[in-house]
Amino acid sequence: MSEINIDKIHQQRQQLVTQIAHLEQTLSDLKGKLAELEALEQHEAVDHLEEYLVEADERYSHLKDFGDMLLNDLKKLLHHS
Amino acid sequence: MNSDSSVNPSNSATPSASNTTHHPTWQSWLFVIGLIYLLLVAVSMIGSGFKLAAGSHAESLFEFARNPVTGLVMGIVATALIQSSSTVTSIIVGLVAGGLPVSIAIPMVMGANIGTTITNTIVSLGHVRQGEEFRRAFAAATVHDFFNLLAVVIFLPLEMMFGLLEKVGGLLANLLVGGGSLAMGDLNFMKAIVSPPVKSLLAVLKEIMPNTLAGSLVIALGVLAIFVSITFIGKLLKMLMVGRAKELLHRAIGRGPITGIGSGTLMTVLVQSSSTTTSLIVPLAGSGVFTLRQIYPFTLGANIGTCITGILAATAITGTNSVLAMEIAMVHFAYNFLGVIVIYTLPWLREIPLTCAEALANAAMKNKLVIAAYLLLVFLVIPLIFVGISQLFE
Repeated sequence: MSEINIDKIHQQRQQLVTQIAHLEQTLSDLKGKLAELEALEQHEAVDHLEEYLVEADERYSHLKDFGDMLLNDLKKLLHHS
Repeated sequence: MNSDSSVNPSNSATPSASNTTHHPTWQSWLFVIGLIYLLLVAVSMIGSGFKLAAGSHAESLFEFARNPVTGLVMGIVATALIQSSSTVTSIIVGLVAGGLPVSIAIPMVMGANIGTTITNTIVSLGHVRQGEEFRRAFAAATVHDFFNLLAVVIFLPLEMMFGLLEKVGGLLANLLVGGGSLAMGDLNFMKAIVSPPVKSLLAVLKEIMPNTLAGSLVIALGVLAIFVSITFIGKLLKMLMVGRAKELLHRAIGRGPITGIGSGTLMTVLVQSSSTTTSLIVPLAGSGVFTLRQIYPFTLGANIGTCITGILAATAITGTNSVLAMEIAMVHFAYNFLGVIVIYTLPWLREIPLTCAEALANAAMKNKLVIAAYLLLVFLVIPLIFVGISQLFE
């Protein structure tokens, strides 16, 4: 193989290494930004903790919805059989 | 990533927070202190009442629960009905103080851990019409169930074969309130503040009715007082401590699972209820803002934090049985602490509750009959089948 070809391959390899390093850095930056956004979203959700307290206190009021859906699924099952 | 209603809780079906805003006042704290005193008196009432009613037959009265599976089922069903493991463990502490053998009480405490998980499962049903949100919420609720079921599968046989928890609990109790220790002396003031009302009540009742009836009445009043005190302590602390709970959760965001476990523990100690902690976490997971893996450590922390009520209840017991009362409280603590250490430390064990919860939630989303079947099987049918099978081999 000629010396020119080897130089070319070496150059291409260097370019790829640089590109990969750049992509990895970009990926790492994006992951960092995503983590920041997730954390912000989580802080925002925690700020609404009182509302979840109310939801927990009124847990039985939602059971009617569940009962309705349960009956629907039961009817479907009986219909199929 | 999320629907509008899931990202912002104010858009969801939950009522406004304005009616829950509560400014801590010294009156509220005074009320909490009064309720804690009532809890201590109530636990002492159960111990004294049980001693009076059963006399030397305390052990034989609970002979039917000698079978560990029966004790486990009693703990599950009682806690699922009352929806408070703190109430059940406090009653158990009182009964142990009155003569119930610790070995019989241990499976009951394990059962209480399973029974309490029904509360957050019911909370998750509030999301039942929200599709993906329901799937996430239901998985977050049932991961607690599967963790506690796995803990029983590991620790109940170990307890039956080697008495592991009884030994650890005994060791810790002796360190805390063992005979002649300094700690015992420190706790003597409890006798001075808790004993007088119990002794007065017993004296009055013994004059007007036979001992067995008087003892039974005192036990019933004690159970009622524990239920009332723990219910109101929980309600008050939820309002008083919501700010601190927020702080803890804010601090845990972006940190590792150990911080999550620690935050879950502290949050539960503050509100005195594992159901409150786990019920708050369920909607957070349902919204998709927190992943199942992220909320898992909080749930485990709730298991550890809930032991504080039993320990507090045990401090109400003075005299010869104080070590036994503290022993069952320490068994509860050791069981939950070791459960977290063993299950969460071993990666293959850690994954089991997550995998089971995900699989169940996927099935529950497709057909709601799965939920009904799951609740009936776990909290009633399977325990009763196990009781039947174990009775056959006796």
